[in-house]
This record gives sequence, C-alpha cells and structure tokens, in this order.
Amino acid sequence: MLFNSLVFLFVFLPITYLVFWALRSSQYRYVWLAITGYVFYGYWDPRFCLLMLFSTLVSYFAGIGLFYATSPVWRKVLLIVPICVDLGLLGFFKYTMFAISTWQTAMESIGYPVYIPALQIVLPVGISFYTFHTITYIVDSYRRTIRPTRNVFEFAAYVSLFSQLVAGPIVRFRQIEEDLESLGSADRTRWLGKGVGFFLVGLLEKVLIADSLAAWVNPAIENYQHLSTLGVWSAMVGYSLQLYFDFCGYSDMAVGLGFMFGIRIPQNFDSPYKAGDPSDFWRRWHISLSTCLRDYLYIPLGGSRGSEWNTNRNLLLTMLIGGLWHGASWTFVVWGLYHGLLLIIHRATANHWERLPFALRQAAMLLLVVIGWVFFRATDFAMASGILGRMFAVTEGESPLASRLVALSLAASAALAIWGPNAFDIFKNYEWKAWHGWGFAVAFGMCLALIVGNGDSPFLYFQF
Amino acid sequence: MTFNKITHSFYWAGIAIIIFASAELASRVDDWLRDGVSPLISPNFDRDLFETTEDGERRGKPLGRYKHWHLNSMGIRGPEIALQPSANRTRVLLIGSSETFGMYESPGMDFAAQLRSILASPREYDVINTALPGMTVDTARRAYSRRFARLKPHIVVIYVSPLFYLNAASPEPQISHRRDKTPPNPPAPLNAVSLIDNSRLIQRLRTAIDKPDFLQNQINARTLEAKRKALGPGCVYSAVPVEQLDLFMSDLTALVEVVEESGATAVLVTHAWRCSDELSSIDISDLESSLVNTPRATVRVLYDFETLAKKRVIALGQQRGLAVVDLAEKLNGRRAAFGDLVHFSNTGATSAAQEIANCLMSIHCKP
Repeated sequence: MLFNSLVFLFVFLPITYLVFWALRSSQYRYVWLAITGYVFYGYWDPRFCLLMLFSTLVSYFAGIGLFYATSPVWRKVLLIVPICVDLGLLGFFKYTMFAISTWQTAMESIGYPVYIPALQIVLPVGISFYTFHTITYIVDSYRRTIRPTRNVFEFAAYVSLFSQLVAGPIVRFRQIEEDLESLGSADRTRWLGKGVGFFLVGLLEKVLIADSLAAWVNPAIENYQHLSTLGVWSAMVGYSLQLYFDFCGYSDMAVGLGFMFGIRIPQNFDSPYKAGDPSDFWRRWHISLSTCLRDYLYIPLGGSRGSEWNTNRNLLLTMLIGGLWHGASWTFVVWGLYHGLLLIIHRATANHWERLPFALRQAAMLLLVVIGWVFFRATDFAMASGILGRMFAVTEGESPLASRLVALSLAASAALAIWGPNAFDIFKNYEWKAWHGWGFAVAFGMCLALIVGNGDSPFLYFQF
Repeated sequence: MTFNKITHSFYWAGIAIIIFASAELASRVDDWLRDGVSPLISPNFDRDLFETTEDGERRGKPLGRYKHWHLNSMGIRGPEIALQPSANRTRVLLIGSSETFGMYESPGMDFAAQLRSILASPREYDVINTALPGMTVDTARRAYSRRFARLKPHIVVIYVSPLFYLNAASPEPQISHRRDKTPPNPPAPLNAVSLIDNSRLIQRLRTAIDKPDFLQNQINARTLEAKRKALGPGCVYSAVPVEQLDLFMSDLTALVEVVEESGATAVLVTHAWRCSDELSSIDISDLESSLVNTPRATVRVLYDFETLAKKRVIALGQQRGLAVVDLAEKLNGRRAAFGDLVHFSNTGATSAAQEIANCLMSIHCKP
C-alpha cells in the first residue's frame, strides 16, 4: 500500500485515524496501531507478516530479558542472539543471491567454475528498516539507554508503525518513547495541522516533483548510450533530484502521519544539497541511517578516538556497510566506498577546503554527489562506466534538455533543493490558522489529480 | 443548528469544493503539459480521433489528438510519412484494429512503435501503422484499396481479429474497447450530467478505479442480457457459426489479394489473446466477461471460433506461400502480455514487435 494511493488516502488512513482517536486508552491504541501496521504490511504480501512478527517477538523477549538480567554473560547473550537473528534474516533474504553470485564469479575467475542452483528468494519490503528498528532497540536496552518495555503491544506498535515501516525513517525506540508512553492522553488536535501540512508537503514532493522528474529521467538513463555529454549530466542531475524528492517526500509524509497520531518522528532530510562538504552532506542526507551507522557501528569500532589510520578505516568500513545496506550489489558497495573516501579526503584537507567560498564548496559538493549517484543508479559496472564515460568525454547525442518543459522542471526542482526551504523549515514554529485549510485543500486537490492520472508510482527506497 | 455548526459546515463544504476545483484544474494543466490537450476543451476519444466521411467510411481524423494518442496528417498513428518510400528502405505497413492501434500500452510502447524501434537499426525500415479501433477485415480491405496502397508498401502485416464475425452477418466497424465512457457526440448544453461527463478529474477517477470483479460481472451480465434481448430469441449460437468463419476467411483472402495486387508481400499474424489453450477457471471468467462484446456467442463458441480461425489463418498462409507469425502460439495464456482479453500490455507489445520483426528480417523484401 503506497501513501500516494487512493486506497491509503480514502480507506486505510481515515479508518485508522478515526478508530485510533475513538479509542481512549494507551493499551487499546497500541493494539490498534499494531493491527493496522500488520494490515498495512500485509497488503504487500501477507506471508511476510509472520517474518516481522517473529523478529518483533525475538526482540521483545530479549528486551524483557535485558530488563531483568544482571549477569554480564547473560546480557551479552541477550544482546548477540537477537541481533544475529535479525541480521540472519536480513542476510538470508537480501544477500544470499548476492553472495552466491559473487562466489560463482570469483571461482570462475580462477578457473574453478561452480554451479549453484538459483534460489527464488523474494525480498520482503521494508526488512532493512524494521530489522534496524529492532536491532537499535536491543542495543539501547543492553546499554541501558532505554528501559525496555514490558508491554508487547507497545513494542509491536513501535516496530510495525505503518508510517515508517517500509521506507523509514529508522526511528529508535528512545526517540518516540515519551510519545508512546503518553499515547492514551494525547491531544488529537495538538499536532493535527502540522501533521496534515507535513503529509501534504511530502505528497507534493513525491507526486508533483519526483514523479514528474521520473517521467523523463528514467527513460533517459535507460537509454544513456544515445545521450550526449550534456544529456547524461542533465539525466544524472535529474536523478539526483528525483531520488531526493522521492525519499524526502516519503519521510515528510511519515513525519506528518506520526504527528496525526501524536507521535513525533525525527527529521530524516535537512536539505542535503545545501551541504558544503561530505560530513555536512551526511548530517543532512538520510539522517536516521547515518546516525544509526555512527552510533552502532562507527563509534563501537573506535570512531575517531584512535589513530588517523584507525579513524579512516572506521569511516571506510562504516560507509561500506552503509552502501551494502542499500542493496545487494557491488555498485552500492562502491558508492559507499566512494563516500567513505570523500569523508577521509575531507578530513585530511578540511583546513584548505574551508577557505574556499561557500558557493564554490557547495557546487563542488553537488558535483561529487551527482558522480556518486551514478553507482547508486547503475544496475552494473558496465552501465556505470558507460555513464561516467559519457559524462567526462565529450560525446554527441540526444539531450532531454531539448524539451523546454524538461529544462524548466530540472531548473525549478534544482532551485528548490538548493535554495528552497524543506518541510521542517516551513513548519518550524507552526501555528494552525483556519485559512491554512484552504491551502491544504488546494495542495491535496493537485496531488489527487496527479495520483489518479499517473497511476501507482512506488517509492524508490522501497527496493531497500 | 448553532451558528458555530453552520459556519463549520460551510467551512468543510468550502474545503471540499476547493479540493475538487483544484484537482480539476490540475488535471487540465497536467493534460496540457503532458499531451498538449487544451485545458478549455472536453476531450473525447471517439470525437477527437475519428471521423466518418461522406461515403460512410470511418477513418482517423488528420492531426487528431486524445491524451497520448496522436494521429498524423494522414489520420494514422505515428510520425509523418512521405507518400513515396525512400530509396533503399523497406516500407512495412501494419493493418488491423485496436490491438494494432494500441490501447493499453504506455506512450511509445504500442507494438507498432516498438517494431519501428527494433527495425530502426540498421535503419532500413519504415513502419506505418494504419490500424484503427473497430476496423474489420472488410473495412481494412477497402481502406487499403482507397488510401494505403498508394503508400507503396513492400510488406503488409495483417493482424486482424476474427471475433467481429461473431456479432453479425456482415460486421460493421465498431467503436470498441474504449475505456473512456464519455458519449461520442458533442457535449449537450451545460448541466450537472454534462459537467460530470466533461470533468477531467472524473474521467481520471473512472480510469483509475477498477470496479470490484463481482460488481463488474453483474454489470456485464445485465448488459449481455439486454443485448441478447434486443437481438431477439434464438440469437445465441449453439455451435461455431461456420458461415461466419468462412466469411472471415473470405474477407481475409480478399484483403491478401488486394495487398498482393498492389505489389506488396502480405504477412499474416494469428490473433492472440489472454486465454491459454487449455482453459482455466480464470480464462473462463475472462471469456464470460467479454461476451458483452460478442453477445451471440457462448464461452465455448467464442473459444472454438478463435481456435478454428487461428488454424484457418495458418492454413491460408501455407496455401498461398505467405509468411505467418504465429503470435497466438507465443502469447496465448501469458496473462502479463495483455491489458485485457485481446489488447497488449507493454510486455505483450514488446513480444509481438519482436516476433514480427524476426519474421520481417527473414523475408528479405528489399526495394
């Protein structure tokens, strides 16, 4: 079920909202959120609800154990076992075929071809996200950063909360613990206007900007062999913007939905294309993932506490894992390594870098990010090298910019991404006024027309 | 009702009106930006794309446009074409009805466009799509004789549907398979019904929202009953109407002869559909739904007629030494290849284009 679908907007959301606020106690609301989360998830494929339930129960009981256990050995066991279960599930469903094909390629290259029958493993939607939810919960429980909940429905509601279930943000239990605890006494109208506003801004980002860009970017990139140098650059810049508005749009909708149900979901994008250096970029792009990687991988590895060599190693490893998280493909690994290298180089040259005018730093950063997206978008290295080849060697061919409408859409969305406000800027000190309803109505009407006109358009991050 | 409640009601009514108005405006602007459709007109598939000449021939309207269906100055789908074929280029002409015209495929993904793409390299072929929705074999023959033979094609690919021949003794061109429900005549004076019919948002909603199967089946059953009642008692075929099959083959043979007389090579394509050769329950359900388009048939008659027609087309090809693309063999039963019973999806159009391209490249019909 997509947020930008008629069944979500006119059936699922109204029913979920009305019943939720008709219920009066926290317990009933937890149960209702858990049920609706499973209905939402099961709409994709009911079989995978069992998988999510299994992961939820393992982590819940491990949390209970960590609540009571005092023995360091037992606490270690209760930390490692559920994490292994979650990573095992993720590894099996997401990386098995990748591992097999890599092994086959490696063996063939040294003259020992092996045959392994192809397994038809379906990747459950959102598994990368909800397993991270449960892993962060277990680690925080172990570290005693949070007090594990003894209420199974509260925990189930947290894991299966439909607003962030399939494409993030990765919300840690401690980030919404306070709101979950006070769910029974939440005021329906307190954040309603803000929630609707965030949701509509996200919907506009998705259906008006991202999907409009996708209409020409996708065919252009699929036929990159026919594009000129300018054409390839415009297609990749278009993809950079499409990806940003698609993912940011989803995150803003998730935040809006959270507000509607009395839950404050943290910001996931802070205008990343305004960044002036690689560190700044990763403080702004997919914030929930980068902070998870920082807190649960980079810092435990040693962070920047050791030597320069160790810091660089930790950075590189963290970004490599971050790349691999996005997809079971070597192009994602290279993308992660690329950003790791950028971070390392920036650390080494920060003094010189900071002396440059900000506009120049921002332009350079944009250029570097667009180049990185080539690996993110390409299906294999042949495609990546083909695109990069056309980007850096003057080539004749077609260009999507020949269409004025395309050029205009590219310029407008770039201007918005680089200089415009994001949803959090817009609603920073928001206070509802009655006339805001008119504006929301106009926005919703526009989105409705585009949704029914263009059909289903999944979010790009669903594939992760 | 208190004053507050009244103002509250007005407020929400105003919200609803604004939503509808902005959605309607956005629909019109979106159509204008995507397909060049003026925001001020009320587009209609039949009225905007087709016209009937003084002698009763139904043809495409020159430069007609409806959504992503654009016709050229000849009133056929595709780019502008010169009357005379270029030297060293093989001119391929497609003739057929809505399956060839392209109904469900995304813009540029109908099999004619894909065939054009496939044959673009090594850039020796021109592909002209003369198909029209509702074109029967006989009307195709007449259209070819009057208008398309002068384009001097080297190859004519004939992909026609036998199912028209289950409707009447002499099947007339039909406006079939349209998804848009607006009436074919110019809109009536402004009133609530015409507002709804002319609303772009309502048109989009009708296309986007699929009726649940049980509801659609009920609607189809009632429509079928009404049509059969209008045709009179005894209208339903109890067995395959052999005379209709013979008529189809006779018209098809006449079309082939006209093509050959013009100096072109005819290529026959067997008619494909979504049903597999061994009918499953879902296939039967599909055929039952489609009886509304062929009210004189039963499911058995429909299936047998299509199967026999396919065999007769192959036999005709063998008899006259014509190339036959057995698309039915390749695509029947592949549900993903079809948007409905007979019209291709993008996937189906790709397969059809590839099969036909393979055949054409083996014919070696050079100018």
